[in-house]
Amino acid sequence: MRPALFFIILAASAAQTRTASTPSWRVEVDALKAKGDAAGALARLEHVEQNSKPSAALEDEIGFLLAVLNQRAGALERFRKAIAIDPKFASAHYHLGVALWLEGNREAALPALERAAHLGPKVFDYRYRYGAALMDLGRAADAVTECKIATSLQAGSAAAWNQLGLALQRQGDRKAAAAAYAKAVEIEPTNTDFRNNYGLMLLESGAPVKAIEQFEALLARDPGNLGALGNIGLTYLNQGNLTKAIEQFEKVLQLDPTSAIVQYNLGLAYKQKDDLANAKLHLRRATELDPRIAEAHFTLGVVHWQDGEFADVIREMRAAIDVNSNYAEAYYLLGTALKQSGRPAEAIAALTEAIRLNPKTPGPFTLLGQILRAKGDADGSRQAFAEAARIKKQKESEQKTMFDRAAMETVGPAAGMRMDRKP
Amino acid sequence: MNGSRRGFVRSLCRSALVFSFDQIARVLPAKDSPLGVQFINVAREAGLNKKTIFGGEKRNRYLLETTGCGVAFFDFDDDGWLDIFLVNGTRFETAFDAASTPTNRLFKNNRDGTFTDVTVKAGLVRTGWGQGCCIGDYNNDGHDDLFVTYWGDCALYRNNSDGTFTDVGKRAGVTTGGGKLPRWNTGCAFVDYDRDGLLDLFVANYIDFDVKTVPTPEGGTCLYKGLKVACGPPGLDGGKNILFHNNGDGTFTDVSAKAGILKTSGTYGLGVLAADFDDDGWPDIYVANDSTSSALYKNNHDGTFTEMAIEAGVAYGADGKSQAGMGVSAADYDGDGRLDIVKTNFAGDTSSLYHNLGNNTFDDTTFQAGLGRNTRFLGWGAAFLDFDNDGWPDILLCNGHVYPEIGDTGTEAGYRQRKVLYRNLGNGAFRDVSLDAGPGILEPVPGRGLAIGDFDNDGDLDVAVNCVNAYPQLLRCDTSLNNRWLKVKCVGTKSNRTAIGTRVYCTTPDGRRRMDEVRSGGSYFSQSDLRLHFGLGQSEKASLEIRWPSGLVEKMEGVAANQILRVVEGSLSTATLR
Repeated sequence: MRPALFFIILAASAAQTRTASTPSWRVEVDALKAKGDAAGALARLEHVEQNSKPSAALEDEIGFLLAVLNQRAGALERFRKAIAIDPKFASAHYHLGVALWLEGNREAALPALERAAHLGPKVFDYRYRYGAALMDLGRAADAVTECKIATSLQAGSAAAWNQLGLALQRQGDRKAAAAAYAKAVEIEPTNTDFRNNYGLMLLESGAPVKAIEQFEALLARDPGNLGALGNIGLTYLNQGNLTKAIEQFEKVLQLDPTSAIVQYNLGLAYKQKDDLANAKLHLRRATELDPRIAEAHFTLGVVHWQDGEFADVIREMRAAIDVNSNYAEAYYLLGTALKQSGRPAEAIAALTEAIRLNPKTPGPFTLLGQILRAKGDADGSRQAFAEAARIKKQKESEQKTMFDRAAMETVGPAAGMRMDRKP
Repeated sequence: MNGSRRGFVRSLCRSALVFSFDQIARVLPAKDSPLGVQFINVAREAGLNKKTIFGGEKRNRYLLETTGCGVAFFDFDDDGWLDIFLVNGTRFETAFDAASTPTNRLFKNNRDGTFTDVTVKAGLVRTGWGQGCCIGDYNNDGHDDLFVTYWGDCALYRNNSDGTFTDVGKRAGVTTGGGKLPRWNTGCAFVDYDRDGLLDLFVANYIDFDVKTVPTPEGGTCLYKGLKVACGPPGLDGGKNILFHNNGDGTFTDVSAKAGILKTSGTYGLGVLAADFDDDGWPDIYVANDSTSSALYKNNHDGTFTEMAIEAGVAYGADGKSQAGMGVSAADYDGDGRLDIVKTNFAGDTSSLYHNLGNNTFDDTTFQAGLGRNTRFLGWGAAFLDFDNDGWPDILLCNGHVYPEIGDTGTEAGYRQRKVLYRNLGNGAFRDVSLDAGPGILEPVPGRGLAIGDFDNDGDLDVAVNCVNAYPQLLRCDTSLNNRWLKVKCVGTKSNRTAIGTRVYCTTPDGRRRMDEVRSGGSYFSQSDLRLHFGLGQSEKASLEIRWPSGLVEKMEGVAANQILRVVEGSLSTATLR
């Protein structure tokens, strides 16, 4: 547990209003807290506890101080004790949820945060933290609901608007996400993360000029902001304006030649420009700087593939799979290159794995069918082709609602990598 | 020295609008080119001076406005010189006056490097959403007829042999009309699929397109690189290809269902190529489909076809993924006696090269052959052509982006794009020689249809290109190479008169055997010269083996190089029957 962070998160709800009838121990404890003497405050409260009736509020506050002092087990025990005393004591549920969350026990934390939000529906922190937890667990629709409530409870919270933007973005509602990010930026214009999120959302929404405006606003305050510089390059790259993208990425690399993401994006820009030599150079550099970026290995492999260098493709696909063993596309291209290298048995194994990981792509079935046909396995070949045809038909049926030609599968990845991307 | 001169010329081309590419090209003789060959755009001085109109110039609301149209090299007046037919389109929401109304154009070859517009005299004036064209003597009267596809009723122009044509499409039953929606007919080819000596007709179809219901860019449904663009074809219903059987009395019957053509799903068909891919003596039909698997209709010899592109390995890219196929061409690029296929695709993808292994099996050799290195171009017209007459078929691809909206964004290779010329190295691989092939190749244009033919009969292959909302190109091949050539004009007697489907083997004394077939249609919506052209390298003579669709096989020995040979079926003494 991280005491400082925990203290910040809990601080708002821990503060209480004092009156003339406030007992003296309360005054003393508050004074010790104000001085930052958590141990002293804890000792005083434990003394009070010995002479008091069981109190959920007291247990919760002791738990809080134990948490601040990094006594995790004790803190959790106190929060649970508080809930046992008063199951409707929202604060204890909230503290328990946050403590469990920070410990990494997210599945256990969520019900506690949910309970707190239920018991304290008008408390901003409860709704906001519950929304954030839902978001982290991939429940974007529920997160949107909670974040909307949080923003209604505290419209001036830029963090809540940003959180709402993230949830809406995850749901695919680009327009609403952009509006939420815009609000966060309006409230807190100096926050780099919020403005970067807003810019990237504008980029995804097909408003590249406005996106660049956001990144440039960031640069006006912080000319060396690598994230903003890189995202401007990313905007040009996604627009297909490759010359400007390359210029921008080169500029970033002059400031920080060790950025694997920028090397990757630069390599991708050169790839799209069909400058395969430079693409290889920068993609190779990206893999050297951060071997954990599976996409860099994959894209480097694609460039070798374009050049007909199948041994290099096989090496890079295997490197990508070493990083991400669930990388279906890498198994797929590995199988393709193995087939093209005249290694059908290995190709079949790779394609079979690609199909296992992603059975909804017709391509691996088609290749498998071709290999089996060449081997004389007519039945196996027919089955593979039939499955490919079935998936293709299903995909075409789904396409009835999707008119995007750019969504077609083509050679290699189409989009660059965000500067805030984590391997 | 040459390099710096070329660099200087290119820099002029980029910056100085006062010079056109063809004007600048005058300063660069072919002998200075490392290839020994330069392609020069001579369209303007040749008299091809009418713009092709096709949809909006800056933005398009419908996919129909983007696909452009084809071009044909054919000798309509049988004078031995190739004439040029250019399909034209139209625009939505534009009222043209009588003088500016777009129409298809027929340009007669004046045999001096220039052409005369004879459209009106020939009776070929028509305005509409013209698409493709193909040539064939459907009534075996000795004069090649012209079929033009449309979004709407197609036209079958019967050649009256007096310099005029009559549209007999309706009487012949090939307009394709009569449904609820106008059909979007695209690529076409005359093909004698049942070998009865009468040319039948295959017409690809793209989309069941309803201008009233198709989503428009304003709705924001369809984005490309963040730009709102015309929607489709994904998400729209595919059209159904049509096969017409020639009844021999001037009429045709739609046999699509009976022949098994409809047994494929909607296929977004564009480029069509009819050829004998499995060497069984019967023509098969390949269709380049957009955004889905392409189709290969194998001829079953009984009036039916079996679609087997997936099994044959010509449906997808090398990795088994769908591609946006546009144009298609065939040739025996490696001299193994089988017809291979090249196909153009969308931007972000490579073109496809399918090597024919025999037995209805192809191997995608795009990457091994060196065609994987270009992905930024959006390809349309495609042709195998032996531009340097060395005996190895090279590849020319015509490009141009589909969305004019990207014109000002600097996206990829832009809206106007240069062509790509691959030289066949004779070892199964190709080298991109575009940068050395002259200004006609490098000039960026919104190219679509592309046809190959030797319009000046000088023994090298020239190129005609139809562009959208731009002037057409006529790329004259100027060569300083001394390679020899042989051109063979086949005339059927028992077989169809145009001799479509005739296969000719051409063997030089060094033992190298070339092969090609007379074919209708091909490339993207276009018709190339029906005369077969063989580059002979330094050989002074060659032997010919001619396999007619009727089954007759004839041979000629010691044929001298550098001539245009007219061969009439059954007129040779060494004839044998297969």
